[in-house]
Amino acid sequence: MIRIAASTRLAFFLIAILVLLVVLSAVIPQKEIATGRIVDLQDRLGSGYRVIELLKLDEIYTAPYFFVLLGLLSVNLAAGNVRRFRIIYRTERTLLHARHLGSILFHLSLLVIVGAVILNYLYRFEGVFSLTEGQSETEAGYFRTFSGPLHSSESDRFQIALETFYEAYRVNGDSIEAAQIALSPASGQVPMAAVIWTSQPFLWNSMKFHMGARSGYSPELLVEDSAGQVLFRSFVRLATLKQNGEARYFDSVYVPGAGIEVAIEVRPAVSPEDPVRFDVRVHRDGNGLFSGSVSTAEAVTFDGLRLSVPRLRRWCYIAVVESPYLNLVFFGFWAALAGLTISLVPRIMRRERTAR
Amino acid sequence: MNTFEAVFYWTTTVLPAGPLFLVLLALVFEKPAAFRSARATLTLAFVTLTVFGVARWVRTGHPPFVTLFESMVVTVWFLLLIALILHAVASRFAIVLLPVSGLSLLLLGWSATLPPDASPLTATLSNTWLFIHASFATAGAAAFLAAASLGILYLMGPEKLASMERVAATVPEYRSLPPTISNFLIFGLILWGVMIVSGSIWAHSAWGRYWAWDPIELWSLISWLLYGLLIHARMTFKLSHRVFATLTIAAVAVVVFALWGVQYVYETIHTYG
Repeated sequence: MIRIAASTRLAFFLIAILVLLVVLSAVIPQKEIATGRIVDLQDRLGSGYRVIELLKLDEIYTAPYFFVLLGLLSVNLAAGNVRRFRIIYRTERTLLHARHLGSILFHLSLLVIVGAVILNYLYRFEGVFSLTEGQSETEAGYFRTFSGPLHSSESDRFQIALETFYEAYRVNGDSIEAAQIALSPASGQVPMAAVIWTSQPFLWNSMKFHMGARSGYSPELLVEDSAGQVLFRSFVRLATLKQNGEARYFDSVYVPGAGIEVAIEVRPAVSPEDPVRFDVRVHRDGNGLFSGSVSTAEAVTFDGLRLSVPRLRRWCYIAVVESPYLNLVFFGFWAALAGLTISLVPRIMRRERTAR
Repeated sequence: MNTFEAVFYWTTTVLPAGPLFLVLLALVFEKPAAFRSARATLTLAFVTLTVFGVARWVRTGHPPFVTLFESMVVTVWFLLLIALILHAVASRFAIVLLPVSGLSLLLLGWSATLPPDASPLTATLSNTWLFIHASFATAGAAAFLAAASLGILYLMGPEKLASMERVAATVPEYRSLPPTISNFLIFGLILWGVMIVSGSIWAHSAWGRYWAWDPIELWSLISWLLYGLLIHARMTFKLSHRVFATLTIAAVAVVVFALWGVQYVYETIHTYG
């Protein structure tokens, strides 16, 4: 039994399955990574997509079999290492010979990596907020979460607000996007404020609050009738589409009180002195009522309606991450590379001596 | 690309054709002098490519790793460097310049079809980890290409390899090639591993996460696992040397796809430049 668990043949097959699963995940769009592509695939495959769902091929990295596979790899690596140590020790009475040290270090490090990945999965937490400036949310307001089976969220109750979004925050001479957040723990701790950017998270209660990779615009759309009565007033969160390095921010909203569809696109200012402009197109039942450009200081009138965009706010993702064993994964990776390097040196030296 | 860079780039792009032609000439007509000229021409290609890279680095203010074009050219530079070091350390490997010049010619030909313009560094790209990541990616790819070059020599067969001795003075022992290929694979595995780790550290500072299963991340991991599998297959299943050499050459396709092909197929945040 131990011989089978420790066999390199088993290791080969387990790694081959791992490769196959990673290749499948590169071919089949994964949930929460490529939602748009999943919809395309569902349209293409129709009911055939059920097979993918049944086998959890669209969420491979959180599927139970993926962790069973990692578990088997751990057992195989552990048993293989014990067997390797025993054989080497029996023949050479030491484990510190340069010829074996690299291989031992490499395989032990792989064991550390796989073990840390499993532990991290069990205790990990990831949540994403999509907040507009001035908006606050509690931990119930995540629009996407992943929580490991052993993660305890008892101590994670808080309220978070996006106070200001900085388009060009100066850090070490560079201009980067940053966000000022306010965090009020439910436990009665003192409220906290911090400026965060992608590489500068705010750490609280073993959770890291990162600024997410996505951000965009949220203009306030105001529609009034000719008597000045407000028919619609709300911040409209625009979608961000990045193509060929250029970003476009647009969306359309239905205004029920006026029966119109308003498509709005932000034209960000080229220089700080220029006003931000909005390309606006208004339709009713497919008939165009207005098409033109407005700024925050202007209003346009058409068909007895008055439309303006008085304020513009920014929105961004705030990611909350708790990965307690991530550093162990990194440690394992560097140690594995050190092991590979150590194992290579005596191989090359031996080969050169033989060649001479 | 300015005129100075263009002169050195196009000189380099054409130069690998020289050794390829000269080695074939040397082998067919048994002319050792042609083989020596081929070696000198490949060294010259390395020098001109170095001048091109340094000139571009000085002009743009950053190492030439940012665009797809630059990544390809730097990989060839590393491949030539490995071939020259191999030759300096063990002269019997001089014959490796035959496949190396062929692969360099192919890659430089591909690079000539790409936009050669240098790209300014955005705030995201302006990070030391990026240069560590990119240099290990190109060096790792070069190590895998070098392993494939030795694989090509192995597939030529013992008689053909021995016959090359007439022009190359010494050639590697035929049965010593598979262990040397294996060493190059481990070397590539180390470099590629450093590339993955340094890339994830850079990704953390650029996008706020270490790993996001992005297509390029995935295919880099697939390449790394595949080479690990190949090394294990050789040891565990006692693969025949011929199959091992063939798989080493075939696996290069995955590295080429991971490094330069993914962005033609997938939407990825890893677009060059």
